[in-house]
Amino acid sequence: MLESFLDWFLIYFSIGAITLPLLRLFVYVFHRKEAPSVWVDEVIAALEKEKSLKEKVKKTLAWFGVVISFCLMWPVALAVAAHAMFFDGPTPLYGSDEPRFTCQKESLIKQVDALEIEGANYVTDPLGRVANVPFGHLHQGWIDLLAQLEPADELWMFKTKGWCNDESNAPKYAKPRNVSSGFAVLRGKKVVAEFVCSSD
Amino acid sequence: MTAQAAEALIYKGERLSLCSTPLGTYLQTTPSSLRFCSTSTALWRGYVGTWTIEGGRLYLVKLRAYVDKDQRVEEVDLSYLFPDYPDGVFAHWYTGELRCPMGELLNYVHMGYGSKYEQDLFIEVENGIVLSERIETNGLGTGNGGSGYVLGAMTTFGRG
Repeated sequence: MLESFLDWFLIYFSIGAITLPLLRLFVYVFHRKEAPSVWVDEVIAALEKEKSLKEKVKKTLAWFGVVISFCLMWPVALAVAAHAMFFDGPTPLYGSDEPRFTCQKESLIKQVDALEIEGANYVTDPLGRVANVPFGHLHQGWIDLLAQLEPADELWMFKTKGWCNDESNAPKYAKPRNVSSGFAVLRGKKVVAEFVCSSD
Repeated sequence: MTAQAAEALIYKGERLSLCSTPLGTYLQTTPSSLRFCSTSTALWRGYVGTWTIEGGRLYLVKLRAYVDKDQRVEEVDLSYLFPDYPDGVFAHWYTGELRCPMGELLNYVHMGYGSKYEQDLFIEVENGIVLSERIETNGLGTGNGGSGYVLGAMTTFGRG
């Protein structure tokens, strides 16, 4: 009886051991992210401290624990993976062609009229170092945005919130950084084009 | 990552290191054919601009940038971006705080603009117009450290 139980357990455990690399391969093939650039590698290397032997042993044991846990509970892991695949919809790939915009829905302020915006954004300079046209040196960006405006589209003003660095040794900026403002074209409540006209 | 080369700001007759990149917004709106290429890990953005504040306005007056032309790196100047304004352009697209580190180096950080100096001059700008300025003190040096923005090390890319 005991022998039979051990046999069944070994078969169950082996299925888990085989499933783990297969699942990893599946993730690699279908949900692979773009290879990190040299820049990203440098950032990671700079952030990672030199690991002590204790930390290395701890990390190895943690991985060993994960593998054992998976081999013991692989039906649960498979059920979660199947649910994510069939019910949560496809995960957008990192290298997707979908354009990414600075303007998110929460950044939208109000719907505006293109002619009024143009009239209010002529730029002048006493030294004559900008053309007297809407948005000055960024004029072409504005023209490009208007070119994408279709009759049913809406033109919205937006401003992002930016971010603050609260670390004690960070430079003491008084206001959030990376605050961008501009105009976005909304088509069916979705941002399809944007023009950033002011930022740091 | 590597500490990045600072921009330059000529302000009240002094040449300061500028740890902000006001040209970034302008470059976002330009076609990708105008992108610059990096020549070293200390200059990922591929350019160094010289800025001035005249009459309470922020101007870009000089640019030293690098472009990839037929697999060779070529140096270009302000007229590459602004052919009609070779002497300077009004940076009306910039809204934010310019940071100019001043005094002795207190703590060198080999990443971005992370190094800390005795003081930081912050200049608040809205649509290219200066609103205010303030100086934040970060600490006192030992008197042995150098001043001016420094880069510890970098890797230069061999091209063309």
